[in-house]
Amino acid sequence: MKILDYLHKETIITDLKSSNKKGVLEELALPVSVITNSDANEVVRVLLERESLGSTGIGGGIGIPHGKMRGLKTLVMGVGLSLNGVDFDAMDNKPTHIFFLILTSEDSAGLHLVILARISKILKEDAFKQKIMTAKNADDVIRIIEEVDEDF
Amino acid sequence: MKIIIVGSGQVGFNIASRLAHEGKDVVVVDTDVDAIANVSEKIDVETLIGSGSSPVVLEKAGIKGAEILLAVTNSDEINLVACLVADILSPATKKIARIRKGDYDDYHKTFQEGIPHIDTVINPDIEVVKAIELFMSVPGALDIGDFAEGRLKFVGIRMDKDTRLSDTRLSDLPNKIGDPILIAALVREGKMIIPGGDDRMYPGDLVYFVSEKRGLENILTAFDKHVRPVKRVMIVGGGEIGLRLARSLEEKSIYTKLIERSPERCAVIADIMDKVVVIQGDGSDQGLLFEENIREMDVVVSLTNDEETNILVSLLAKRMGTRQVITKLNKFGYLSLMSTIGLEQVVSPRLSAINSILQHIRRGKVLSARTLVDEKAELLEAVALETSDIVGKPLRQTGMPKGALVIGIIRKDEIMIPSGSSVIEPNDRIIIFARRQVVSKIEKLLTVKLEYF
Repeated sequence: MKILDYLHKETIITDLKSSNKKGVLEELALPVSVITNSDANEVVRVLLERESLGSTGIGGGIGIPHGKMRGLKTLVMGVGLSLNGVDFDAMDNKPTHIFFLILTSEDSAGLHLVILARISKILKEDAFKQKIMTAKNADDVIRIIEEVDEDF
Repeated sequence: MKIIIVGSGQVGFNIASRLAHEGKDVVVVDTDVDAIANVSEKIDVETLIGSGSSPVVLEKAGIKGAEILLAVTNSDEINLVACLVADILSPATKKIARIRKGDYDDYHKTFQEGIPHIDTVINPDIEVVKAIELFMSVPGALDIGDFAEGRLKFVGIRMDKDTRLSDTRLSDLPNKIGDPILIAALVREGKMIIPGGDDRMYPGDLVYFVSEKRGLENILTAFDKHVRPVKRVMIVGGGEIGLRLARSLEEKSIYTKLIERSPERCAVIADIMDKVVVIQGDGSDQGLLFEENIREMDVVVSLTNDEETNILVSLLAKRMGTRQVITKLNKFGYLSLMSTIGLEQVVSPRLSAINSILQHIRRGKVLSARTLVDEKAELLEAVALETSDIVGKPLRQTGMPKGALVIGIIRKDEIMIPSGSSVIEPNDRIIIFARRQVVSKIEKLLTVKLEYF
């Protein structure tokens, strides 16, 4: 399985507008809620709830908001890019530019942890981070991820 | 984290200043120009003049980007409408509202589940009544916290002269008291000490300790505080809190007299209450108190809306021989003076409101929070979550900052008073005592790692 098995073109946003946490989560949640047929506000609430236990802004400009959602059939992902950066309560107090969102069902059997580990790994590469920030649209993002997307 | 606070009274002001200190993004909204001027003069937050119930104002305050809306004006109605408007404009914003009127009591849940989807309804009056009843159960306590459904008690008590325990070294305590006790802090001449085994307790010290409920009576006896059953109570002031307390005492079949100045209000209360004796009159009238046998009362509770009257009634009652007096006070400025004039059992609706709100603002899975000792310290009750730094290793290796102490662990039905070698397991409930300066470090210890879903 690969990251691109779970990331859809529709859930990629290359020009996030918000500058704060809640606004960005709303932007990211909207397309994900559409393709999973769930309530966007509920998705935001789940993500905010998780953020209140500890920020997923892990520093280095990266945020990986995630959460478990009741009634979800499969794991879904989203990607968002912000040129100006977002105040995401990151551990290094710096703005966050690259977002990977993971939403999983409540009884997920560990797939979410594998995906999280994969994403964390590719985001450690500065070259990848620089490259993805040059993406103009969803197709670019998919192409850039494809280059590093290995089976797991 | 962005937070909008509607209402800049004492509660709004206090919360805003705490959050500003912690570097959070705060907007305070109020119609009162002077109150807003006071806020912007004293604290580093954004301010906005206007009604928090207005969609235009909330929009301008940035409700769409706000994680929390706090509606704490003096009006229940404005607080409700502010939440309603926020629910329309920004449904995912967490809404916390103060709603005091008893008429709404049965609808708190409805407000949560249905429109306007208020995540937390805070009623400080209910908390105050709880606090008064806790005071009644622990004579001499200045502060009482109940944990694990009351099985674990956190108590602040004044050390009297010539008691069995005065001048005792803490490491010798187990020889003098059989029941498990942990001294969390001593306050001596206004300074807080987090003691070690070599420290001693002296007369005049304010001693904060934790114990299990079943050992509490013995411990209190060791401090020369004797628990006696409360049979007769006098309430002065028949407002919301007075009425709530009277109701609760009636249910427990405690003989209760209630003095209220307004004849109309007396009629209302007499109509609701069955056995409570309602007396119309001025509670600060010494003659009336004498006539109503104040000296035979076990407890006198002063709950009028006038701070000075409450202080006066309590002082009078004490001088006339009442065993225990409890005073309601709102002005924070007065709180620290109370022990100097001998009134130690004080309740404050505003402080209760602040405590209830704190819980929802703290990071990690915090179940309750309260501020202690003139806001020098906080008591946090939280769930220890998987992947957080506090679980899985002996406490002394968790990086717990100096000035903080885990004082209780609740694991299913088991209650533990921990030592440095105790290990916290995921999903334990823990109680932490922390100096205010290290609270943000504690929050960090409680937060989860990225892997937590």
